[in-house]
Amino acid sequence: MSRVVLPRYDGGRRAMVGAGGGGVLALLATLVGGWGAPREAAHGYLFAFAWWLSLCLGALLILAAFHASRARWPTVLRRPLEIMAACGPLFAVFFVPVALAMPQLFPWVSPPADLGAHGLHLLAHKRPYLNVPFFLARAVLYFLVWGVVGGALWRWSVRQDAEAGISERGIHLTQHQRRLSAGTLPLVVLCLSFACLDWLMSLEPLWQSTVYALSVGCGGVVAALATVAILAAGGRGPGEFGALMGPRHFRRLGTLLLAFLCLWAYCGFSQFMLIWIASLPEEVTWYRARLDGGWLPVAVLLALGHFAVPFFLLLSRRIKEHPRSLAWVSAWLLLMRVVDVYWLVLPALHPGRASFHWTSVTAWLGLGGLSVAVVLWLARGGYTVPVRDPFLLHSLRVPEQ
Amino acid sequence: MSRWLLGEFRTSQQLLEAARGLRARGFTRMDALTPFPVEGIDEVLSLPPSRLPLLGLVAGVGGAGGAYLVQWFTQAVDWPLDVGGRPLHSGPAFIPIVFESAVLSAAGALFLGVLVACGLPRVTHPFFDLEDFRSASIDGFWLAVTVVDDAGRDAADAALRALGAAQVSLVDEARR
Repeated sequence: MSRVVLPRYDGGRRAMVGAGGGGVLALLATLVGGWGAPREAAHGYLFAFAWWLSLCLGALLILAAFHASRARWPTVLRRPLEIMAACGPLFAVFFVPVALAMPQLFPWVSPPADLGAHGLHLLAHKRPYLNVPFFLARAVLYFLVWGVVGGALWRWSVRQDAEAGISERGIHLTQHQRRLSAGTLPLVVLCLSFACLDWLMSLEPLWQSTVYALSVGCGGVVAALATVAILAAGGRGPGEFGALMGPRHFRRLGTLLLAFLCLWAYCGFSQFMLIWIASLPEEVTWYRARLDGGWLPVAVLLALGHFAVPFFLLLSRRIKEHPRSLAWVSAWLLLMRVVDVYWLVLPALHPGRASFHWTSVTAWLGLGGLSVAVVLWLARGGYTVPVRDPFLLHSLRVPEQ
Repeated sequence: MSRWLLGEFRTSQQLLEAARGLRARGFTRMDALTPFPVEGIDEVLSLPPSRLPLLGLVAGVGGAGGAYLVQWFTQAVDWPLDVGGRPLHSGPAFIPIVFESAVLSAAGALFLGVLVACGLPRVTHPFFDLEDFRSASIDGFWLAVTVVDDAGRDAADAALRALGAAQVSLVDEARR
């Protein structure tokens, strides 16, 4: 029996300061850009906000699902998910600019006359739901739910680390995590679903799709799992959770990634096919805005790069079990998530005309820098695995199959 | 003509140790026959990875391609079929059938592939002539060593007994 000493994680100090400082600078640049081009900057910021938030919510979803299903094998890779999921309150702060830029983003705030009489009539009907006070109240509710659940799961898990061994109190903490997850998972998912509807779908308030939120949520889980795979493959030094993971953990991680990739493609394709085959004027506008005028190559890239190619790569057990290969596939998938979220948000600004404004990049870097800094701040001084979890030993010796 | 020496062990741990010991003594053609999957035995026996996944992939991709081809040929070429003014070659509408067909052919090929890989349609095996071999599906852990000549048989016999086999028997395919 070999003995492993797990030190606390206290690296990343310079990365934390660098990411935080760079993030503030990038956000300032975005603000300056917003002076000249407010609508471009607002959409760029919303794209960046949606991408980084999807990482946090994807982590919260899969973490709560692990707890609710009493999964034991992922104990070793749970801590990064917990830290990402605990970032809900941070995104409540990041939401403030979105709320301030509402007139630039959402046409329903003050409907423009070029929507036509029918469009204006429809929007008047949606008024009881799509109005500014109710929109903001809903946002508060979403962040409250995500913040409380994500925060509690992380806090309980960290509190368990302080126990002297596998104690009765520690077991109670595990039970709390499982009960809270199973009880609140439906609420968390409903909040995610309505948040997608509010913040992304209502950019084009006359269009609707029932599978839209599910597709965005699956994308978030893909991003979160891909991030864990990259962290695990990159952090294999002493005391880091990647060093404790064997080929079997990576294989299961890769299999989950493949499953959510398939679910994302299934949702995205079924939405496309139903709208394509029905060909109703009020529905096809959303796709016309995202296929015409230079957007078509982006859509094809998503079909191939976000699904077809990684699907066949992740079928291979050899790639899934090899940390470095899985990390490369994951990095590619994170890039494809960027393309996907960009493709969801930006065509609302210039329908049917592929456009790019540098504020998208600075907003993404800015929110990313601050998010990474906060994650490192939460991670520093703690263990990279839940060391007193009663199922950690089981997780380290995951049986075959 | 094939010949095997079958050794029975009482526990899975004994079986693993015996398989390791036999490999260390130079025996490579071995198989384990156990009532449940024994963790780690694949590595000890260094069995080649199964080729069944490849069969599933080929059948799945073939089924998908075939389904697309059939739909395209029957609805756009052989008998042009106008459904509600949609294009004759309606790619997106073909995809659900393509998906179902890929799943069906992959699952069917794997189902039949497992049966063939298990040796069907052969209905029995020389091992089953050995009355005590019934315990392989109850509580016995059996190790089968393929032997070629009498010297090898004697060496394997001695090795199996030395490694703690509860009983050792010779099974001969030609004797049946």
